[in-house]
Amino acid sequence: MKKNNEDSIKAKSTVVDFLVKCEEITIFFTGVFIASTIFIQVVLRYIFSAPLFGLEEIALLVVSWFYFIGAAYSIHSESYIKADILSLIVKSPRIRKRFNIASLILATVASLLLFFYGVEYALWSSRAHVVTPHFLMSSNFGFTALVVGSLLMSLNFALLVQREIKREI
Amino acid sequence: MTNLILVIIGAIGVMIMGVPVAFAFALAGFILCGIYGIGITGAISTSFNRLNMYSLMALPLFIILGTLMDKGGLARRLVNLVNALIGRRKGGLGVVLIITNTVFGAICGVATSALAAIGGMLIPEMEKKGYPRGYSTGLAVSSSVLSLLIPPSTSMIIFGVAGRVSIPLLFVATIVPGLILTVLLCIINSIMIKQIPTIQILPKVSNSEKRREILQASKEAMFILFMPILILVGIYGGIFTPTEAASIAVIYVCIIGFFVYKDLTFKILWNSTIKAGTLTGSIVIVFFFFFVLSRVLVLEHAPDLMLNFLFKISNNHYVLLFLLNIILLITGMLMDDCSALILAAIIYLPAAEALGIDPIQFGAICGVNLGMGLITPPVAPLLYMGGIVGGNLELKEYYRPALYSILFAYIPVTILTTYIPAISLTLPKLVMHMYK
Repeated sequence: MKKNNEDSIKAKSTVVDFLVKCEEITIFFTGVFIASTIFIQVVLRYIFSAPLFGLEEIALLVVSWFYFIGAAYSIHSESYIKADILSLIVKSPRIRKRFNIASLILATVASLLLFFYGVEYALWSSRAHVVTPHFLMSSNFGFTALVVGSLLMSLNFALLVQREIKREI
Repeated sequence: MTNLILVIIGAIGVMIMGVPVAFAFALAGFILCGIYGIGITGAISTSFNRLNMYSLMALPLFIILGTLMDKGGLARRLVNLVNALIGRRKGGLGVVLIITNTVFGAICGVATSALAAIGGMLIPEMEKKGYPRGYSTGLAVSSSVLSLLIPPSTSMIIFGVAGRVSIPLLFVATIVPGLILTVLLCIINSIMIKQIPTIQILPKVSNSEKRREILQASKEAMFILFMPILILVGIYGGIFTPTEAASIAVIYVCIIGFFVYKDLTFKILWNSTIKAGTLTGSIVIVFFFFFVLSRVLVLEHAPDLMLNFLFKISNNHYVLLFLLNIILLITGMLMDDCSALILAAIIYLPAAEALGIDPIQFGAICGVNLGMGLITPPVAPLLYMGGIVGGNLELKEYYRPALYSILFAYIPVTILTTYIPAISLTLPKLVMHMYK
């Protein structure tokens, strides 16, 4: 029984590590892609006088991945923007822990709602064949970042809830 | 209307409790959409489309630039140059700290990077020359805000995107307030150091030796000093957009970091990009959910509600401007600068315009006022970060220089920017005149 428990914890940590690595890789490559794409466009425009039509459109589709996966990663690294004035006032660690758990649960609910409505919009968008103006690519490529990002945000918040519950005072 | 007010109060309540700012906005937005029968799916897709702005892409790029400057050792060369120029006078290192922050601001405009890079480097150096660690930390905290006022500024990108105001014009609007702040901070430094007897004056060197020192430091910093010229001439010469200027600066830093200075490694580039992604993501998600919420707020005429509230208190233009600043100050004290700037650009800007304030001037007022919010408790990210950069100091050890800078630099500059429009509007008018 104990071995089974240990195995499941190990498997969970492997899955989480894998997801975090995927988030890092996505952030790095999309970040490099955006910087180089815009730079290339400037070079093509001023040095070769031949700008690539619609290159900005691709950069805009890719940047959504940088934004939303970055947001999910900020939750994993707990560097999201907070204004928790209460933690400065409340001195009792026990009460602070309860507030933390409640806050993280509310944030999990909000990110799950985003995921739910995001999926609904993505499905509608696929049925309606919404495409980008120049390359006629499915605009869902950019919107999928919101869906994947919100799922990862929910997961990362849920992990923070679990960690906060287990945290000893 | 009662529902709206109750939900907003609830959102502020959960924010204070510890719910991340973005998700407190999300909950309020979803609940209000439900109450007023606005489709959440539609609100989400509209918000997503508002994020798909080419100008917003400047934000992650300038943040990547800031983290690369910090981690890639480029800021060190900048510090050496300013130090060679003015570091030998009594209190010179304090001035070096302030001026370097101003120059750093002209390159990337990210206050946290400025504090980490310049403060992290100069605080130990200043301690060796007799400056108390608390004093130099407080000064580093106060002067790091300058990075947000000297263009390019991430704050002004956020304000411009949220309020749909010209970003290049906002960039120049904060130059004069930023320079006045620089001068006032230098004056505060020169007064405060008179009470610190431990500060050593570096031994005098001959003119030729000093010239050699400056020449050596200039040679080393030459490539970095070219960056503000590249960015600003590019933007105001009509050659690049701010987004393009940011991408060129990132590639330029990579080239000089890898091939000229050879300080940059793949690991630094990786870590800097991840850090920039994290920071951008945490800002953009606030944008996203506030756009969802603002859809309801605008439909329910929240800006008009605020204007009516202001007019109930007074009809005097000067009093109303003062009240607007007080509201901004309270917002800045309760929220981080990004969330506060988004709120100001969407909710307060229409009220300010109705009071006859130019959106560009209001952007400058927000830049100074909310910049001050970054070092004003209870929510003061730069102030708390200063404690870590200074070497795990307690607030009581370094709050004094920050407090004096709020009282004698930030508040006066906020008042000047508010009541003398020429301070923030002269340069934007000149820029517009150039393109007529």
